[in-house]
Amino acid sequence: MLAGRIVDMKVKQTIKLMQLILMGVLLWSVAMASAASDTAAKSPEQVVHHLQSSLIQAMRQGSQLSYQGRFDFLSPVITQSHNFDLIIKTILGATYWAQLTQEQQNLIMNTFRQLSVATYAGQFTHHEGEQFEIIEQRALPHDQILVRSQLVKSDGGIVNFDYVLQQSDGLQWRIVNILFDGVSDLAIKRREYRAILQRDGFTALVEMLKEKIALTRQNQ
Amino acid sequence: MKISHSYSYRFFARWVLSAYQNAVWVILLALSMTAMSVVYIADNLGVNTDTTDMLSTDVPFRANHERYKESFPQFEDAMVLVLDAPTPEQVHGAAKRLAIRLQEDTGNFHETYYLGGDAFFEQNGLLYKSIPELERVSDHLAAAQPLIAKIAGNPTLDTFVSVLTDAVNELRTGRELTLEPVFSGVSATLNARMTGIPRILSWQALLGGEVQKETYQEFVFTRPRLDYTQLFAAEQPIAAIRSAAHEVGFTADAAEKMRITGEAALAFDELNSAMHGAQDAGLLALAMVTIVLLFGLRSAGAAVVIVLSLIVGLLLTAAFATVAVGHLNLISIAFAVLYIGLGVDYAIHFLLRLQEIRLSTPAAADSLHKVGGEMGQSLLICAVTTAIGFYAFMPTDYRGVAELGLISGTGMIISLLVTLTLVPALQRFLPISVKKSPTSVKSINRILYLPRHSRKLIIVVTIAAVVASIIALPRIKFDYNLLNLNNPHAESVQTFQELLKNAEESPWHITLIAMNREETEKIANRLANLPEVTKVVSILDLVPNDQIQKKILIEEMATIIGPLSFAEVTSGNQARHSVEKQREALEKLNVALVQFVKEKPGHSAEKPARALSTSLTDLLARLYKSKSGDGSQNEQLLHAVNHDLLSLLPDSIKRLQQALEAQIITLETLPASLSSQWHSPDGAYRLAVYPTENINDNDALKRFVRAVQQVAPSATGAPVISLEAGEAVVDAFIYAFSLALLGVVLALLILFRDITSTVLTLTPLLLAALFTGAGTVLLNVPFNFANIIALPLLLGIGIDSSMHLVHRNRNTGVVYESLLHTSTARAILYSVLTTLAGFGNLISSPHQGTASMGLLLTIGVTMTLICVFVILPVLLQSPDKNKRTESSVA
Repeated sequence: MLAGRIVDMKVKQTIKLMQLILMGVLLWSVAMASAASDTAAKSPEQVVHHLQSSLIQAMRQGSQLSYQGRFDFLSPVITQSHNFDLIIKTILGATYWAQLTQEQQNLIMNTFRQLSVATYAGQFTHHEGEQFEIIEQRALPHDQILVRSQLVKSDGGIVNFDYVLQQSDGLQWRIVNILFDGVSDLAIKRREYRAILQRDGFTALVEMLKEKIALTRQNQ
Repeated sequence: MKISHSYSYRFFARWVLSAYQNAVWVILLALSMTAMSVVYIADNLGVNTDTTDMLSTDVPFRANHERYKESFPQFEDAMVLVLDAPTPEQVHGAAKRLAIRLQEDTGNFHETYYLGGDAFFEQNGLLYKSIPELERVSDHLAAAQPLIAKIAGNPTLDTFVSVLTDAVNELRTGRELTLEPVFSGVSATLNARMTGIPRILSWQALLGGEVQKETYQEFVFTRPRLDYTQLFAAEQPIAAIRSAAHEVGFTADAAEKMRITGEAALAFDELNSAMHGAQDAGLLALAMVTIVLLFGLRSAGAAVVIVLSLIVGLLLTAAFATVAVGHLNLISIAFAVLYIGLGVDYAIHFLLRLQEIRLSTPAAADSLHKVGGEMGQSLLICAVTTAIGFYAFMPTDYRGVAELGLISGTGMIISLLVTLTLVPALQRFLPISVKKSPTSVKSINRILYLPRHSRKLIIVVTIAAVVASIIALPRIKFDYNLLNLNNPHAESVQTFQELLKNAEESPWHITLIAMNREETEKIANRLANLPEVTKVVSILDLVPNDQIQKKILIEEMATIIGPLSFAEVTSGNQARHSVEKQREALEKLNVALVQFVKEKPGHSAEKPARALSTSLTDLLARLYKSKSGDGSQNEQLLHAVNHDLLSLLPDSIKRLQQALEAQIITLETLPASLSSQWHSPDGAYRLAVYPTENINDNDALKRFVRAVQQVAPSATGAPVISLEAGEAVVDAFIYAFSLALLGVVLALLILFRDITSTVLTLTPLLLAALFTGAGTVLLNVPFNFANIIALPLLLGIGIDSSMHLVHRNRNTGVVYESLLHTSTARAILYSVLTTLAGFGNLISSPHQGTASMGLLLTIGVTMTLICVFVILPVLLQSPDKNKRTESSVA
């Protein structure tokens, strides 16, 4: 009887232990899953990889998806992988940025983000066997990371896509600049946008960005 | 008269006679004493060429400086190496190489620093720029980034040219690109190469958006180990700098140039030019003095006697200086000037009188007895009076002057002893030749006799001159600018004056110390508000403003340009294989430019594009011309162009990337090498105050110093020291001369025991002084630290000249005409002429201070001559008659 009680207790304990382990496993897998969906846990290389594979996917489905379809598909991916806040601020210059009202900042940031997505959606339209290859990841000054990659075209031609990433809002690595064959996208845009700003002002710049978005749409 | 000889007459007569009788012993004694002096001097006499030591440390401005030196000894006697090159990159690199090289040479230099090359500034330099400046740099970098990125992968001429061609074609399509600076820069570089004076393209200037200047300047500061026991204390360090500079690439044909200046270098050039000037003038002086002596004495023997007695007396005086002071400084060394100027005179007087007496008394012993009696007395009065005049300098604050007074005063006594002992002794072996009134004497007498007909005129002119001189007196100036004394052709002087022109970076600035940070800030703010002050620098300025904002802008820059890395190019094989390819690329660029100019008239880049096209056309023409001949010539030319355009690019980018890693600066994070310049280990804070005006100008300097002293009485630094030292010297001399005058008056009263004689002796002296002062105004020769030394000599000559004449007149009762016919008059004339011959040559010295001394002496001696020979005889006229009547009655 005593032995029976002991056995009974052991069984109960084992069940309890099993339950604990199960719960632990469950919690862990949930945590893992949530971590996997969260960009915060992604390495810079993974951020770039995610962007590039989305681009390839958009190209592959290019013929089925409309421009708007590609736009809608890429928009969250691009928004999440780029630090548009910092990008537009750098393009316009921190001093100028600080002079803008909150509304103006939001307006230009959103317009610029849309233009970026539109540009991707307008350019990556169909797939001809292109492939992205990540070459290396290395640290840059100011806590930035460079992820170097190549777009290998079907004819063997190569375009270098180098991404500069920076950690923002805690842990998320996000793209702040892209260099096409070494040429800095930020440099080109800064020169172009600031020229318009200085000559025609803020509104003209927003108008120009909107025009460009419209133009991309029309060209489809 | 012969019967009633005074005691002193008999004493000197006997003294001179016994010297003559014991000639061998006297000469041997003199020679052995001289030999001993030489040995003693060689072993013990030091030369202290440090000019700051000459003033007593009790004077407030020196005390301030001593206090400052205690905390910041590293700024004393610095040298500034001024480096120039056509590009900022080249001058920076050269400065860095030179600084490193000198830092290793601790044997010659205490320390060497090149602030611009300090790792701290290389990393954090951008934080010291203003926010608008930083934004401008960002814009230029953004504009240049695509171009550089494309070149970076293959930094060769044809890549560069084809990238430019693409850019021009983009311009043609209407895109907005800022290519003007690139066009202009490339065009200027090509033109420079074509004209044979190559000038490398500065990417730093291009990236900064500035037009490349003619020259870029950097400063390397070094503190040499100066050896003050050497006459040229900085000689070895300067030689070390020159050879180090040569080793690191400052060769004669290099684009980088180096010049040496700064206090130590200026002092070196000063002494060097003064010495060379003195050397040349000395040789000329020796020749001219010999001519004057031969002409005056008509006796080679007498000339040799005078030179010998001069040398013996000079060495004995130097020996005395060694015993009494132990060292000579730059002022007391002038005792030699005084001795040579005055020491000869006694012997001239003695020998000329001897010559005169021997005409009537042929026996050597008798004539010497007589000369001894007569001259002994008057020479004693001269020597004692002059010596008292010099000794009167001793109580002044100016140690240099005080020591000069002691040495020279004693020198006069030594000269008297030599004249009365050695000169008669030498008569035994080198007797003076006696000639009866030679023609030269007659003609001299005629000249001296000229003013006799115009006594009234002389009196009127004298009174007018006195009035005019008194009016001119307030305009007498003292020039305390030490640069004006120096050789105006010396590298250090010219360079320094160039640096002074940029008042904001003036190497002459006021420094002062504050005891804490609050005081530093308070004083700096108060001084910065003065109109005479352009800026005040302290340790607080090393912490830039708005750093957080600036750091964001710098990070922005880094993000914009991204990582740039340059591929290695082996220039050799690239050049060999692609002459044709490069030429084609250049041609394409030219075509694109021509089309652009045609299509877009009025475009902002039109003019630079046109210029570049012209340069390219020239280059291509050169390439075609030599195409038929030697191909290697083209290869060389293209290789050179490639080098001119691209050689500085990788390094510029590397330095830029370094600068983009700027970190927030706080007082605590400043490197010790930097903060120690502004904050001493004993807790003192240094402030540097810069003038608004060019303080090479005396009035501007005075305004600046006085304004700063109002706020900060403890201010020091070169401007304060030169002003205060100048005034201290002037005060010292006024004090010394007042005492000298008092001493001379007392001496004359005691020796003459007669007020009339005293007044008669003093009148020409004072008149000469007055006229000399007025002469400096008229001829624009302000007094300065150098020529002020001539004043004691003028004092001595003035006393001696007028006293000899008065003494002769009083003692022997000779009247106007005959007075000027005496040997005394001639002796005065020859003495003064030897002084002129000896020192007048200094006018041609490259050292302006020495030259002005020669000029001042010439003015002074001329005035003395006029006063003694023209005015004094007129004054002697009326009391003379009385005296004659008195003596005839007696």
